[in-house]
Amino acid sequence: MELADRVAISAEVMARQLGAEMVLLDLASGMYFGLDEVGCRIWQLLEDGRSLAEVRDNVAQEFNADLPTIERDLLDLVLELHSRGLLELR
Amino acid sequence: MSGYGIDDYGAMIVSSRTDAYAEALRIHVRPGDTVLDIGTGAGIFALLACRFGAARVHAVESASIIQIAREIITANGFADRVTFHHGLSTALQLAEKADVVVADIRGALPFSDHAPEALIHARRELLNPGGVLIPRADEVFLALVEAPEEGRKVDEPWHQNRFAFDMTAGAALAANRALHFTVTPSQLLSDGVSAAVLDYRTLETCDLSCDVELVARRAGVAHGLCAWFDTTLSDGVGYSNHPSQPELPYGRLLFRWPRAIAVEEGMTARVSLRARQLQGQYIWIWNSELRAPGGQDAIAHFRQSTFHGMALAPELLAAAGAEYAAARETT
Repeated sequence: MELADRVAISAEVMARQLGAEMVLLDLASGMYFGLDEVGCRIWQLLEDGRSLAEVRDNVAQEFNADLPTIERDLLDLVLELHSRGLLELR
Repeated sequence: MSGYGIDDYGAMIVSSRTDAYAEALRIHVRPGDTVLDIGTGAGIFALLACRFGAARVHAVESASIIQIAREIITANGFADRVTFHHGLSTALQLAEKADVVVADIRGALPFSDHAPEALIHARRELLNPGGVLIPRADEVFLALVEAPEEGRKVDEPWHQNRFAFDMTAGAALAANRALHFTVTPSQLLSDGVSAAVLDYRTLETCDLSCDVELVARRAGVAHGLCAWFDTTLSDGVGYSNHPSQPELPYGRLLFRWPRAIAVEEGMTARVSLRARQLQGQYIWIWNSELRAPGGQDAIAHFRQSTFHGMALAPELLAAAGAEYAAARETT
């Protein structure tokens, strides 16, 4: 997974915010997944159609974190979500 | 049918739906037949099958009513012909396959609990080739509906209370509910449009995905979509749960909108309806796009689901599923 990759949320995934967290329901598998506060914000930005670079920049700014750390965490999360079929590569 | 009380089972015995099932069983059960009764409830279909000559009836029931059914079968002298199986029919294995499978395990719609799954499984695993499924087919309909009272009942507690607390966190859930409700024909704002036909002789999926267009026949205030089903049990035998028909045990379902919409004659609602079975429970998704007569732009667009109407807590989800926790820890 690279920052230049374009990803989209699977049409089979429904999302719901619970407090600061996000719960995902994958209709294809019937499984629930959870995202913490940072993951929740990443998901919201992906829902808005932002590129991974834009997501990284926004999250780094909003959570006052350094870009390399956020970029690594972002790519790890996107890879994980993609491996579970929750995100698709465009 | 599960989740029913003794009064519900009593009402089913005298319901006109039982008359239709009795006629279908009379047509199809031959002396010496083996009959599988899925969701026997109080045992009325098993009794009828015995009366029409079945040599063996396998009666399946997952609820506690099974004990009443046992007593009723014994009281009518059929204990030697009826074998009870407690649990779901999808876990059942029969040494002798059935000549007739009979079931009424629907809710307000055929997409309820394990209903389509049980009939698909029965056809594949438990029915003799050339055997008969009762019901043969169900058809689901949708119409625009006025239902002000239902919305008020579920919304008001979250918006107004005499203690003057802010309870509005519950309002978003209330807006994503599919409700059983009582409805009369005068509340319908459009004709009923067929959304799906479930032909159990060939059905391969438990899920639903359909698109329908509903056109308002008169002006009014729409609160959502009314859903019901018609059934065919056999040639010329069936019944309708249309709001104009006598009340049946199932009720009708209201897919409510988050707010009421004033409609004029000719207004259209394009509805995408999905039902997805997850662990024996259906998740409903209904997206509605409303347009004025001849209008190009949508005047309202609602995206709703029962997933968004469920009370969920992260700690309970985490406790229930390892997958949930695994994904949580990645950020």
